Amino acid sequence: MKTVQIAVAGVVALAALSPLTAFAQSSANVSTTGSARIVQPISIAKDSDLAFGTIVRAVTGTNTITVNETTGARTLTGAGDGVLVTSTVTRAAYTVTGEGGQTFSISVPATFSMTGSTSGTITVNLTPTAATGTLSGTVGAAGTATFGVGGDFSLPSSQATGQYSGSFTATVAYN
Amino acid sequence: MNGFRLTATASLMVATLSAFSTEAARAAGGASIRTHGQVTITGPAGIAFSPALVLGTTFRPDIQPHRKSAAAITTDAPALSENSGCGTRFTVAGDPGQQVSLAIPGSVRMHRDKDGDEVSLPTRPDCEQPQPRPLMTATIGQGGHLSFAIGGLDALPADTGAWRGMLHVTAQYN
Repeated sequence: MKTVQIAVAGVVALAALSPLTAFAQSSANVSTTGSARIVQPISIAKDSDLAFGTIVRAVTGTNTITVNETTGARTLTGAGDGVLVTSTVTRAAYTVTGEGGQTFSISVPATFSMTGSTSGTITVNLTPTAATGTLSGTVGAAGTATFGVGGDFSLPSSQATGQYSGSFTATVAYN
Repeated sequence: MNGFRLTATASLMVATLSAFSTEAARAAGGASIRTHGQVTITGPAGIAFSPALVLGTTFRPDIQPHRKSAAAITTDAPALSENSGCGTRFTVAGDPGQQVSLAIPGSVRMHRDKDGDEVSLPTRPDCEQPQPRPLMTATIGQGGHLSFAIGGLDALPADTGAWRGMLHVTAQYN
């Protein structure tokens, strides 16, 4: 008697879990929904490089040179007696294009190295304006977003003079 | 002694370029782009002079119309009289090939020791040139030095006495 009761309960449970099941004698069918979201590739364009301009290094002491990632403003701090010279200064700036409304990640290295035209190297610390961004608009149309990268480096009185340059890679990816 | 000391201050400059790029990188799920960073580091500029611009002792002409006489100079210093030569050589030290702006005052204010009376005397910048003119820009030579001279006052104080003044010359990187 106990065995019969368990068998009946099992049949009831199976029926409740399959409400869409169609029963017919010779065929059965069910509707299934398929979906996809097609987005255009994400792209990044560089609007400006990271240019610190010209600096007269200190006779004594050390300075820190910073280019702000948001405003592009350049500052000189520290105990050194270095001087900023009027020159072209820019933060790195980018425009991202892709599917509207999509979020994306921003990736830049923490540091990169600039090599002097005669000798010496300078290690630059990089600072992006954000770690993520959102493209303008909504799905179905192209969207854009911008971001910037600034940096800072230490400039001691012993730094060799000359022109320094280097490069780094900025990457964006859909989240 | 009828001398005035010269002081010099120096500051700096230069320029660099930033490149703009229209290049774009695409990828299905991510995209990357190479970015350049650059900076120009220059050495401090210095300015020095030698010797001091010393006029020495000058006998000014008698100012009475009926007793006019020529000026006479009696000194063993690099003395200058009206329209005479160059007295002081300045040397700017800096990065070779860099252009500098020179700020040379057109006159120097001199004070008389005994009573503080003041007179303004014109200077003669770049006095080694055939036609003296303000020397506003110049380029530092490949040896890292730029040299120019100032001197030759075009007028003498009307009153006698010991006069001193200060001449500030500034060199600045362009």
